[in-house]
Amino acid sequence: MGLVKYILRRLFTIFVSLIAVIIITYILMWIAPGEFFNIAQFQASAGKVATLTPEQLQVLIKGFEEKYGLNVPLWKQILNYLKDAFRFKFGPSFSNPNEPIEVQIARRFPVTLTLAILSMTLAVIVGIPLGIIAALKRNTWIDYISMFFSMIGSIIPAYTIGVIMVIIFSVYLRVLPTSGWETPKQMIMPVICVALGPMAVIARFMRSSLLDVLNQDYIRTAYSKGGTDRAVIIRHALRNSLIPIVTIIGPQLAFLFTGTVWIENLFRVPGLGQLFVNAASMRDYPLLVTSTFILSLSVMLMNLLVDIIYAFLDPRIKYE
Amino acid sequence: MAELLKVNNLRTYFYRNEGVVKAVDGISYKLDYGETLGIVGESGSGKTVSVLSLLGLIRRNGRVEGGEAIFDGKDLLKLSKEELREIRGKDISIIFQDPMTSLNPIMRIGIQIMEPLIWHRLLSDKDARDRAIELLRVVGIPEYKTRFLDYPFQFSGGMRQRVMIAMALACNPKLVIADEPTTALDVTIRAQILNLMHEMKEKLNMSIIFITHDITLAMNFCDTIIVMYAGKIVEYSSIEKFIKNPLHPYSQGLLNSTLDIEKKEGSLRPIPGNPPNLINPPEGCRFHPRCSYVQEICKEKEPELREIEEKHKVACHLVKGGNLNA
Amino acid sequence: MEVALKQQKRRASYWSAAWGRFKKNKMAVVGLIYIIIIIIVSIFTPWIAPYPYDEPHYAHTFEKPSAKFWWGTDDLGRCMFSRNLYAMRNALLIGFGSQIVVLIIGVIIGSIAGFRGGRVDTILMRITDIMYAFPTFLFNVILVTVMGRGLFTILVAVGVTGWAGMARLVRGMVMYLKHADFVEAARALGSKEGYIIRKYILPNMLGPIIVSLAFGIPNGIWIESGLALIGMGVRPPMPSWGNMIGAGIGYIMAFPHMVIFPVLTFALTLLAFTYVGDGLRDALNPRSEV
Ligand SMILES: Nc1ncnc2c1ncn2[C@@H]1O[C@H](COP(=O)(O)OP(=O)(O)O)[C@@H](O)[C@H]1O
Ligand SMILES: [Mg+2]
Repeated sequence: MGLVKYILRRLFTIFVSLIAVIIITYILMWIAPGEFFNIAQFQASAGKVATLTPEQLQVLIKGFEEKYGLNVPLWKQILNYLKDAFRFKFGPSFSNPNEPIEVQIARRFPVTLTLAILSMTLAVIVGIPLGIIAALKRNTWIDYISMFFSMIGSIIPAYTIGVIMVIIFSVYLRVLPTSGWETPKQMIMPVICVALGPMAVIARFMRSSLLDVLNQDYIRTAYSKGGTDRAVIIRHALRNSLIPIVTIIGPQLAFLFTGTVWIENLFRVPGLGQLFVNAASMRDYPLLVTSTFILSLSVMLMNLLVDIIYAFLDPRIKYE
Repeated sequence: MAELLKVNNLRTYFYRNEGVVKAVDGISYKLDYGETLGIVGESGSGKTVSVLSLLGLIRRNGRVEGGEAIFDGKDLLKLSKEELREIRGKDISIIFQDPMTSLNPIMRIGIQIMEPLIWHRLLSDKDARDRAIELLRVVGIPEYKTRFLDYPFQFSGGMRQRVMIAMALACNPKLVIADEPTTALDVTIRAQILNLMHEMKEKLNMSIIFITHDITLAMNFCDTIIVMYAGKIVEYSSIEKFIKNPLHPYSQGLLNSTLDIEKKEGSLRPIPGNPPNLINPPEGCRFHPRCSYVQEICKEKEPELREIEEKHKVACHLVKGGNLNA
Repeated sequence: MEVALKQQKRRASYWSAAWGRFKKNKMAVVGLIYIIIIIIVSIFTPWIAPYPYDEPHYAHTFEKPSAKFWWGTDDLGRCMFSRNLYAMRNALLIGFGSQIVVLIIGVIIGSIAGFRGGRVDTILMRITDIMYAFPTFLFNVILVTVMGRGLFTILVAVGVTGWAGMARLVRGMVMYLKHADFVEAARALGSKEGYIIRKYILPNMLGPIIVSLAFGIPNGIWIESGLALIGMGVRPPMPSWGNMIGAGIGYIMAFPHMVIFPVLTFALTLLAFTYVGDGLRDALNPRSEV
């Protein structure tokens, strides 16, 4: 059937997009002022990792030059990298030459994935009922209050809400820690912060989608058959109104991963977002490309997953 | 014959920013067991609203302002929400105009047909299923056993309307309301659906309210006819009397504007002008701005629906002694 | 000629009707007044601010709000109020500036796709689709890493990654307007393509574009402070809301005033822009009134 073919085609698109992302990132780094491979910077960070003799340092630098083909033309470097990337063998980073990048990623990826999945789950399981209640109680104070809060949630960025939460829960109430990612207590604030934006958007969209569906002819038909409010809303309105929701979850995923970049830095959560920001601020280019690559890949794969769910919800979808 | 439904002075208004839309403004009629009543009028004359009001299905910005609708001894307009729900789909069911939008697009049609049976606790799940399959056969769906599990988008317009009819018949209702059941369909399909409705009418002996804007169709199909204009009844007659002597200028206009195959082409004459704005309807007779026989009195005084002869009522100042004296 | 006059009249009444609708939305009017005030304040910031943004007062570090320092001081004893004013000024510069970049790129790409159609359209829209579902913030960071942390480079970086929505919008409208009745009429009268674009198509696209820009400005402000928060914003000592929040968070337990003020002004500004955006959308797009 069409599903397998559809997934394969989508995977191909993802593949092409990723290549584009890598090429663009590489070119940007290449045109950046200053040397691509900054020896002073490297020495500084290498010094952190281990004390090296000048000879050992030379060996390391040689190794980098060979590994990343720093002396060959740009297109060859990119090709080299692409070969590595699709085998998930990335080699060392400038800032931490003793640990291959894939090991660093492997350590941090689960953290970010957990943060993203927990947040998305929270956003969905709170946002959807909130939107439903607002729609069913439209033009009452319940509706106004929940829509006011989702307006705030969708325009005030995650990190600002994070700061406000820290002030409330850490400074004044002293119930939650300000940083870390070991205990569930430490996870509460980061997850809520990342979730709030998508939650607010989902709630607003759910409300308008359900209102729209409730105006459809087939809802009137269901009532005309003798359905109770409950039966009509649950059996006919909800499922139809959920379908468009799935389409905004895709863009929300991009939004959500941006949120994790901020929130990981704000709450010192050792995830990919933090790795990415460290790489950028230290101009550790191999690490920067790779973390961009992995983050983009995650967003695209989750998007694909969302689209597959969409197809299951809506029988009209044929994977043309 | 015994009376099934008696509507008295029904009024339904909609509240909009621009003002109050008097969509249905005081209509009265009755319907016997087994009778087929046609409601005819241009689009926007209040036909749909007049029947949806009976079942409490009008949109939130609308309200039934007054009147009564005695169905089987109970006033539908005074029933509680739950009592009314028990009547919907079981005693009175509706076939809607547009089969493209009136079926839930993501629910299997078999399930949609089963719903009224289950909601009214008439049959067990399994029996409801058998009944739904049987209904699909009755309304003429080919391969009805497998199509039971199909979705609406897998059906053509005509087939969907058959599904709507099956759904309306599911609980053997006393009254079926068909709101322009063929308007949204291709011309070639219309005759088939009408034939089906004819067949059902003969077989099942139920009462029907048949809404259409096609006056000749109503004349072929119904026992009694109501002509509505701008929320009011302008003529109300048994079909024999109406065929012999349609009296209201609006009824005559409708008749002239439909294409009669036997006559020559040139005879097609649409009524000039447009239906009025129902927020500020014209003074006097609401039809007077478009009426070619208009006189002073028509602009000042609203005509009453008067009995001209037995089973024939007209609301026009100019009808006297069984004739239109213009 | 007569057609053109009629068109102009229609347009004039469209704008005045839109203004009438906008005025009815109280939150939008309040937001607009707030925005006008902060724009004026931002223009005159160097004269209004009680202290230079980078002047330290080592005898007054971490002070709570007082008559001397209205919103207190930070770790170097710099006046928080003055720094906030400069942060606001930077935010507005980036918000408006980034939208100019968005407008230029979005209109060019959108109109090419819309006018050309065919393969060009398909390719451009594919790129736009990818941009739309991509965490563009990553590219913001990379661009800033590459181009440096100046106000102007940040503004360009925000614009360069944010044009996808605008391009889609413009393309859709060009496709529609290309075949709209009054455009066909002008074409039939022998008007040149360039004249049609300037006289008919652009004015009709103005409403939706303004709405999109109105929502884009807070988004730009948002991204800038997000960049600043992770140390990729304007270079200190130049203040921005993001780096003030980022710096303040370190002292949040002891000196919450260091974050409360920037967070509040920041949030208020975003809210104001969003309310104005909502008001504009409802005013310029009467359909949504229902
Ligand atoms: N929800 C509503 N809000 C406002 N006006 C309505 C609404 N529904 C129907 N109307 C108005 O009521 C009048 C009668 O409508 P309707 O009964 O649908 O006409 P018909 O079925 O005869 O074509 C129309 O003028 C229509 O504009
Ligand atoms: Mg109707």
